[in-house]
Amino acid sequence: MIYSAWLVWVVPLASVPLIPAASLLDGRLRGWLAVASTGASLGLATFGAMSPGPASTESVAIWFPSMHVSVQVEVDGLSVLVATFVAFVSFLIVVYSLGYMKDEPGQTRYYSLVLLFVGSMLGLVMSGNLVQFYFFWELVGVCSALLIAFWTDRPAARRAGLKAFVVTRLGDAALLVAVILTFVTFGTTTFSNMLSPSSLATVGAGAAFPLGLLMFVGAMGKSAQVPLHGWLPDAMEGPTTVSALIHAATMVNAGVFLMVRMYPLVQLSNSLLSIVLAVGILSALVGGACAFAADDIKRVLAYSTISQLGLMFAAIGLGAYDSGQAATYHMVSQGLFKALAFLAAGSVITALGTRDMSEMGGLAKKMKYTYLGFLLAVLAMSGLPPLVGFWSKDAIFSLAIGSGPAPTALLLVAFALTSLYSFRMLFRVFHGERRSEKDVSEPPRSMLLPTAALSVSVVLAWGVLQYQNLVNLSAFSSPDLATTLPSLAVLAASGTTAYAITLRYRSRAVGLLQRVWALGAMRNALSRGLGFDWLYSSAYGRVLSPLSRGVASLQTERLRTNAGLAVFVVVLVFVLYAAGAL
Amino acid sequence: MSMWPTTVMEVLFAGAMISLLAEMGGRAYKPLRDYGAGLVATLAIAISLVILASGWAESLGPMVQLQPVQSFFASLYVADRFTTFTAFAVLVIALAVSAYSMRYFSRPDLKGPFFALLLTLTCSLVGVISAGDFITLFLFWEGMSISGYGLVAFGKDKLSVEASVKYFFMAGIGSLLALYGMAVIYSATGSMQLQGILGAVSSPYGQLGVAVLLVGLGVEAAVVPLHTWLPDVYTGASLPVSAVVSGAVTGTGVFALAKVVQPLIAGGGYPVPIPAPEPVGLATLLGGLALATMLVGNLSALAQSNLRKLLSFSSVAQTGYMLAALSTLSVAGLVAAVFTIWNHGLLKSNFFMILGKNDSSLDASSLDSLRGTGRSDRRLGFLYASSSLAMVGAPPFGLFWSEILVVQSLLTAAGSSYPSPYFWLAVAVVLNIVTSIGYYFKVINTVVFGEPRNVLQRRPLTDLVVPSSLMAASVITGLVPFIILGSVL
Repeated sequence: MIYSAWLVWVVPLASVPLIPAASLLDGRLRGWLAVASTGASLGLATFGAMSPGPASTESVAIWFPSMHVSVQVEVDGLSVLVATFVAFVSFLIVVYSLGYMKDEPGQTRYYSLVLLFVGSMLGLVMSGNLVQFYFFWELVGVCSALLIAFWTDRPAARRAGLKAFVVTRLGDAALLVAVILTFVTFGTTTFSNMLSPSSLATVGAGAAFPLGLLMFVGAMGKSAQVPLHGWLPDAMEGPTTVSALIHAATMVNAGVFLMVRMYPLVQLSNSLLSIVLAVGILSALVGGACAFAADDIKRVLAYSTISQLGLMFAAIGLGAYDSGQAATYHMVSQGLFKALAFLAAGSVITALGTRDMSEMGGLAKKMKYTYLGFLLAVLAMSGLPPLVGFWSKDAIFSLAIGSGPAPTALLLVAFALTSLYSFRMLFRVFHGERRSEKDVSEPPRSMLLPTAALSVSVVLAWGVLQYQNLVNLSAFSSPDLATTLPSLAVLAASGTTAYAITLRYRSRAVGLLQRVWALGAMRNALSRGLGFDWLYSSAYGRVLSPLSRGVASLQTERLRTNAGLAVFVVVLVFVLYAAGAL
Repeated sequence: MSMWPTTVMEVLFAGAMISLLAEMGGRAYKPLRDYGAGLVATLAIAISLVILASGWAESLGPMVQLQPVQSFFASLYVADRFTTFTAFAVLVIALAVSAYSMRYFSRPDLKGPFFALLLTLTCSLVGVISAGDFITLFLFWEGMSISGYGLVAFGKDKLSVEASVKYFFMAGIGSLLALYGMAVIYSATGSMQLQGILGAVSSPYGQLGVAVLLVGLGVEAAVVPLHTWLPDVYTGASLPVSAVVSGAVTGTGVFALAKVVQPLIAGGGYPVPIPAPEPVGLATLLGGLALATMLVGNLSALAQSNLRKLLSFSSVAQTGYMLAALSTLSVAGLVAAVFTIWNHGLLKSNFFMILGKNDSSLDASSLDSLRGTGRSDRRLGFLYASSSLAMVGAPPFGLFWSEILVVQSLLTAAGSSYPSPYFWLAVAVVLNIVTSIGYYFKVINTVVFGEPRNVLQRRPLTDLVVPSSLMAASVITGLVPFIILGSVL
């Protein structure tokens, strides 16, 4: 038994019922219990990461006999790396919550759901078979919806929770079909059996395509890929700590993780890989463009996540030997700098009481440490060496160069958008003149310390990851000049552009937006998320809602209608009989 | 041969008589008057559960055993794993409803008749579940309906009487159709035993009989378009009655359909030649009704603003999923349907019990007047939220596995040819489940999280013990499904 591997996810899950119990003793105990629990989980995961062993799958008792499923724990490079990373970021976010959520009511609900959220994500990562994976996948979805709706007195928050649940559940429906089709096809859902070369050899590209496509639709819902991405920007209605958890540590990474886990199956079908690549690049571009036009700091970060996740899927869609590793690397890297950006943004939001960037500006002097953290996050996001973002982006970019000019060019555009929106955000929040009268100061230590820890990790992570061999990229030990030069040039150019339009020539840029109709229209379209929300709400309002009212009116008070309906079925049966269909 | 069906029915019937006597005899003595009938009923159901559990091991054999038995209820009975588990589910829900109802009715003179009817209903349900031939099935089917009319009218206001009359008409149509189907099967095969259905499907005439029988029995299971009585009954009846109808009667209706298809399934317990007959017409009929039932159920539920109506349409949708599983005519489908009867029954009766004691007017159960209940009473909010999540098939509740089993039975039937009708039925099932989030999240958003309009009275803890136990049973099923699947089912 590898006890540490089991305990990594069992400890947070087992602490969930302790939170309500702790609230009976002392209110403050709840937060500290959550810190202790995620801390223990982090310790156990780190222990696993530092003592590498052979990949193994352990099973205990039969759990769901109908599909020969046992409760399993999977210990291999992927699960150990992702579990350690998830535990690390979650632990810091829970510590940050101590300060951020201090005066909020409903802490029992908050901390129990957060622990359930983190425990389920860790359980998902360590799952040894698809059924157990799906069980935790669903739990993650439930927790995220309830946490997004945490501030229940805000109707917008409740709506956002519902939206997140419905949209991700739409993807989950596809995944459920995929899980069961996998069982029907392979006779097992255990990863080590179904993904073995001999087992994969029995299914060709023909069978891999529908399976992989259904899984990818599930991943699109969870990882907010176009067109199932609309829930993520709205999910910003939740507390910032929850946003950080969803964006960096838990929820959205699950989809990428699924595709990486299933990569041996996915790469069997070329047409599937092209679909993944197309959706990934489209999401990277749409997310990046919408982030550039958003004014709400959290929405910028949300669209940025969509864009970064798009890059990860693009890496998988490129179908190279290193694709899985590159996607995982960028998942870890994105998680670190996005968590850092959210925590720093949370401190700004707490200080100013607004999320609107047009009310921010010039905060660099007043909030030095927060500024430093946010700066590092922005630089890592744009891929400045030697921060972690540079290495992971470079890994994806070198795969693209290997595959052709079209993906290379599109990725460069996505990189340019990334630097544009992240520098625009940095300049508008921390530079320029102050637009708020409010007296701002640094947040308390419980909020600063996690920010500092993440800042350090953004700087040092690449060394730890590469020298501990947690990421193994065959073509990637020293960066190649041919790949780094274009991306650095793009970084410099778009950084300068962002400086020009947000600070130096701001008034001219604003004037241009007002004068040139096309620019203004584009900006409006982007800030409305390119109309995806409108499409869905009108589909509901114009199709589903009238349809449901119509169908509901079938059931009336009048007995005559009801008897008529009964007669209709009987006649139908007799018609079927007469037609020889029976 | 397990004797539990007759023994259980004898106990329940005797209980019904004693609880009437207890109420009449106890008029002079207050505690007996207040709790006598309820205690007798609860005890009778508990004893039946013990009897059933002690006979359980014998019913786990691979084949159904039919044998006429000597008893007060002498007839032909079946006690296989499906029958036993469904009877167990029904008895658990009846036990919960009986325990819950002890404090529900304030007028003591109502208690005797109520508990007597509850016991005769439960007795009939067990009879329907374990019947081995058409005569037995029909007799208990009528017993179930008659007890049902009485119970539904128990609210004694206009709404419940109206619901009862509507139920009476629709169930009457159903019974007639079922009887006609039985007669056709008899004239095609010369057998009144359920086993005779196997012979009937070899001729179109016999298949007609089976089809009409399915439609007739489908009324009680609320198969669209014969579902129209269900919303009225769920809203018009008093809450304990809604709890038992939604949890036990609808499930028994579905099980009656399962009984009709069981003799056609190889490995289902009856001797079936291999390869098993493939009555394509019947499977198509079941599949088509399943599709209509889940669609109409879910779409209608989306439009509801009254919680009890919403719950009733959600039951219709669940019937649709179970029918879809049954349409595969496979053991997996049978297991899926029976397991769903258990999971759905637990959650639905729990839902009606947490709705709690209010006047049975429609207005009291509208989402608007329940708005904010969860804010004024946290425990109630927790129960509402977890029940709603459980109903959309979220883990860790039992219905999560039901959902997987239903889809698994469909995809297994579809085989490796993806664009087969069963594949699309599976897709319809998962999309319908997504739709159900639309209305159950509405429950969470208004009832649990909304701003309270009226001052709501906090409910005593004792009111929540029974629903919490049902919820706990659902969570246990969800966390350790193997205690049921693969062992008793």
